[in-house]
Amino acid sequence: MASAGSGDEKAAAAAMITLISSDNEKFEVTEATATLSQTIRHMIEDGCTDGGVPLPNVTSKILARVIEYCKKHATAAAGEEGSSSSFSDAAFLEVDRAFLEELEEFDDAFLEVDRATLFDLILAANYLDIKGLLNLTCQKVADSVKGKTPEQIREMYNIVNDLTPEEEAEIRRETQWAFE
Amino acid sequence: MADECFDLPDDVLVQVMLLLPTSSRRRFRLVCKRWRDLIDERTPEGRSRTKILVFFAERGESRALVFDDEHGGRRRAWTSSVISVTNPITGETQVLPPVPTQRESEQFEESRRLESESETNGKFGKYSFGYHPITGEYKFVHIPYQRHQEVDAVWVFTLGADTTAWREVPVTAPGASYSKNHGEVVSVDGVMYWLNTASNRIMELDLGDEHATWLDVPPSVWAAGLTPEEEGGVWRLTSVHARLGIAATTSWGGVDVWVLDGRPRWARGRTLPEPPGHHGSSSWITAPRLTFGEYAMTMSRSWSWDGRSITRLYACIGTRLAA
Repeated sequence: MASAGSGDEKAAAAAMITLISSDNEKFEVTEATATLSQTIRHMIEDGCTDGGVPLPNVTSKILARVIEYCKKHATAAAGEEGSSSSFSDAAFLEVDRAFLEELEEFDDAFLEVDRATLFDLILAANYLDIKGLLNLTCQKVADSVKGKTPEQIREMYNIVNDLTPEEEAEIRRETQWAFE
Repeated sequence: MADECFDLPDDVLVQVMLLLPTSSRRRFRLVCKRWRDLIDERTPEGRSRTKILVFFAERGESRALVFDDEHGGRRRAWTSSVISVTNPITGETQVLPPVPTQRESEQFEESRRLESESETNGKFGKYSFGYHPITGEYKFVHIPYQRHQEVDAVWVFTLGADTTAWREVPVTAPGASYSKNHGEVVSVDGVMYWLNTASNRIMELDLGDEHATWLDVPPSVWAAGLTPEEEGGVWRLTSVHARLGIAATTSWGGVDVWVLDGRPRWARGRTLPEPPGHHGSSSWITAPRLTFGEYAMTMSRSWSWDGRSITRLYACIGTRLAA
């Protein structure tokens, strides 16, 4: 894809940032990729990224996935910017749609992980303040609990029901509808 | 490590909850204290609790009162002739079409016609409304009156569904019948209950899978020598503290209560005190709901004569339950 390619070229010319996982693995990423994280963006702005950015809350396994997400989405963002000026509206819309479809497929495949990984991704997205990733992963959790009963939720997540029978009755009462 | 929801910080859990439909959030207040508190404090649900509604329908008009606060304060009354539903949060109103067995004009006549008619051939029926906590769907159910006949189907209308039409749902449970004199249809925890015409069975319609079945009226009710309201008796189905209940007025004026306590076990509930009397009034047990918070409710009707006309006055009396 032409626009995606131009995005990559732009990114390649940009400065590189080193991210260091909790288990001391180093990841070289472009600034465009790293700044999808608001947390890292602020660090770059404050000029404290020399010598690498330690991320003590994120393991290498999760950081690799997070970077994979950021790369894809940074490329897409750059591609959109590049295409908007060099294509006619119709062509732009065509490219744009192809992009979005590809991105959607990527996101779907990205979410094919076990629950523990999903939760680790959420924690990492929250810590790194990556809005798109946090939204994506939270939506996945929301979709998986949406149709469940409270009992099923407790089983899924080992939650102990600490509501007293009186509190439970109170909640049930509030959820009732009265109608004649 | 992160294999349970409790590992998620509050902010994130709230974000997940905000992505859920309202009905799920309402239901998830039952998961545990933390979930309940987060939903109450950080989502719109906290300030949009269900309110109790008292509804009168007679001769082509209806009036409804919304009880707003714990002290029984009333909010508003209105009149309307067709079924319309208003979502109190969005203000969106949906007017329901008549059931397919009725002409547009007939739904207005319903209450008047029914008082004299014994043969209705399923043309008229009882409307009821229920909420299923697991599917999160709100449904209207129309149970046809079929004197001396079993009900083999009911009409169901799902609010907010893609189709805006009544669906005919077959009822295969034996003995399903409904008579208008048998009191209210009671909806509790996703199940709609009504008494069959022989008054020995309580029909159940699950609002989730729309499967109908039945359970026996508890022998203790019969043993107490009580007869249902239809036969000049004094008991009816109602909901008691969000459970299905049978309430009966006793000879001394109090109210005896049985509660369905884990199907099919019935527990003898407490005996409610006699409601404060209104001079020249008749009182009866409220349905589809008997209790409101710490109060048991009774309806009472009295007449007032101002020299030209007689006015009927209705009152809803709350009796505080002893702790």
